[in-house]
Amino acid sequence: MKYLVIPEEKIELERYQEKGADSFIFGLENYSVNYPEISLKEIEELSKKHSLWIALNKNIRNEELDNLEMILEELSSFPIEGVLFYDLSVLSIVQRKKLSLSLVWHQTHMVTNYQTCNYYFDKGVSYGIVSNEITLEEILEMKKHTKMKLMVQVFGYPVVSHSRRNLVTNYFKDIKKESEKDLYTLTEKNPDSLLIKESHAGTTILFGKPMNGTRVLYDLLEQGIEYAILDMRNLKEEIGIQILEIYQTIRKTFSTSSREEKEQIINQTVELVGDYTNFFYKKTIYKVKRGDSNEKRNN
Amino acid sequence: MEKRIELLSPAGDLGRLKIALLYGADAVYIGGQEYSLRANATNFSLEEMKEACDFAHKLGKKVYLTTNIVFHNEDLEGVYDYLKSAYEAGIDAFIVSDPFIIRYIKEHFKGAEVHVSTQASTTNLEAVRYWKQEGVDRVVLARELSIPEISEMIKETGVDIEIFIHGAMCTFYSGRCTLSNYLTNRDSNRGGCSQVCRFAFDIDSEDDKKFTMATKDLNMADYISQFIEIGVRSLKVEGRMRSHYYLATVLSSYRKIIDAYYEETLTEEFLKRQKQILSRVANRETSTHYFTHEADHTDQYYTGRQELSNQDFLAVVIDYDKEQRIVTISERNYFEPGMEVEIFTPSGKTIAFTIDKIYNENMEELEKACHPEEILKLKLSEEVEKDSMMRIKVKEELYEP
Repeated sequence: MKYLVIPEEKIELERYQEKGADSFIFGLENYSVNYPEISLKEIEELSKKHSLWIALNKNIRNEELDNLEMILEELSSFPIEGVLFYDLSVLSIVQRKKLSLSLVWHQTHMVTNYQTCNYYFDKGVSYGIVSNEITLEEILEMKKHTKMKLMVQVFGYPVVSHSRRNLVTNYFKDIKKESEKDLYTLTEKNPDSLLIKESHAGTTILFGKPMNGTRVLYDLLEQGIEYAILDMRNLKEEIGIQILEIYQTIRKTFSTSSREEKEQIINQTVELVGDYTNFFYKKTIYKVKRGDSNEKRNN
Repeated sequence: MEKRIELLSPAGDLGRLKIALLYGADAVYIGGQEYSLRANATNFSLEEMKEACDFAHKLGKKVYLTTNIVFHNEDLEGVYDYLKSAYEAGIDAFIVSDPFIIRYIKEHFKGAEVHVSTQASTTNLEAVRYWKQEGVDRVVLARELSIPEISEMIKETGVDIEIFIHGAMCTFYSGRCTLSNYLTNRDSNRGGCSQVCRFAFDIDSEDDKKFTMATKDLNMADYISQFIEIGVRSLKVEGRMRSHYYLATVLSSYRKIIDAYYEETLTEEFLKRQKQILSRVANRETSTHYFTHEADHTDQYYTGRQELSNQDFLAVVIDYDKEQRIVTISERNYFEPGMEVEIFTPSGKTIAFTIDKIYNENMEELEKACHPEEILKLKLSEEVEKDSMMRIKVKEELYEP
């Protein structure tokens, strides 16, 4: 398994690489959503020294298509690992221009079944980033039924939603004040909070707790999942480094560790970042029984 | 013959479907018991789907089936059998977002169309071309686009384009929101959306005003002519869980605007009247959002927003006795003698009158109508059709949109 790290900034790469990061994910400036962005020039330079995956995962508009085509052509001349896409225009251009670029299907919340993985695999898309809202069992079943190489986020704040609207700016405009910072916390009756931030592409909401997928990592390693993603942003760099060190140990020892040793390692990460396991062990529902508290609240 | 723009309505059940088609929709979109993004609407069984298709086809109209969930592994089993049964029931088109079923539908169901759902958030012409290449017949565009962008897509691709024109909006790109999953454990991309975007949150800023992100509703009545002229194929109304009255009112108004355009009788005054009627049935403020401008704070709701409960709908017509000139109605909201009301009919007529006397089923005079579902009778000189609806008269001076 390879570890793909999303750093806060590019200066952190050497340190993460020393501790076990195999590759890094960056967004291309003005073309990504919720990734640290760098320019084409920076990608060209960094790709000479580091293994890079580049996210072009925003919703593209007509007026951006010509530029997108030039960008993809240029990226295909760099030694990058591949391009993460959300919008089908990226796939369409790569196919039409027959560009030599590995593609990663990254429709954030839609990579949820093996049939669609197979559909995109047949279109030449070799990799897919599994949605954060499915269970470990579902991920492992996908793995059994597709040749697509799967990437699973195992650490960091999960993305919840993305809007074209500038929701924070709009709020402050309404109350006639200036926004004071880049990242806000939203809380409601629900004990869980959300993080909200704006970028050139609109507004992104993250869940308020970082996902700790250490327990899951053991299963993913045993089942031969090819890539794990660690999102180090919004955390102190030291925590990211410690987590990566622990994950490096897991990668080396998972097949020989005893149950007690595994539990001990898992507990170390819980002490660092808590034990939120996202949807790995929790299935969502979609048909609501009459009288359910959420139904009452919203209808 | 000129191919006219389609007016497409939601229909949450058979009753709503009939109202929608009678009041002017050219086609309806429905959800079955599986694979639809409104898992908690009543939805249609296969038998009801067949009845729906028979009803629509007799009127020369169409029925589209939403199969636009984002599939999980567990949803895959049985999907092809389900699609086959729906096709055999007479479904004219399948609305999909997960692309793996497109080819199956095109290869196995002769004549059935595939429409790509707005859930796929198609925002540019290259993506439209991609769908065209996949054999898709129509693309329902994302709701974040401007009229010039839509026009360019139609010109450059030649693909049938469908757009939303009326109803509630999502705050986030369709398909790019799982707020419901995270805060209520309900899967938004499989029909369980709990509308978390309408909750009010505390924000960690110095101001203590609640943070909300809900958007105003959409109302594009002013732009129907423009949509026809740029070549939009279908105009979609949102709201599979809306009431009969809402559907009848909204569809009736858009039907009249569309027909008036083609008959070259669409005047500003006529449009204003239809907008007044539409504004009476709305329970939230409306906007044109990205169609006309970069959406900003004026397109959203903040604390203090009002969702108005509408008491305009007074009764539905059950029968009309031509000899006695008496209309039989089923009551919905309070009314009494002296009130100015109007009956609007599926065929587009509006008959205004003042309530004179109200009778019960035995023709005994009543002081008022105050029992919903009660069968009542009124004297009315003009014949009205079954399923016509009676509402408080929409007066121009009272209801500025």
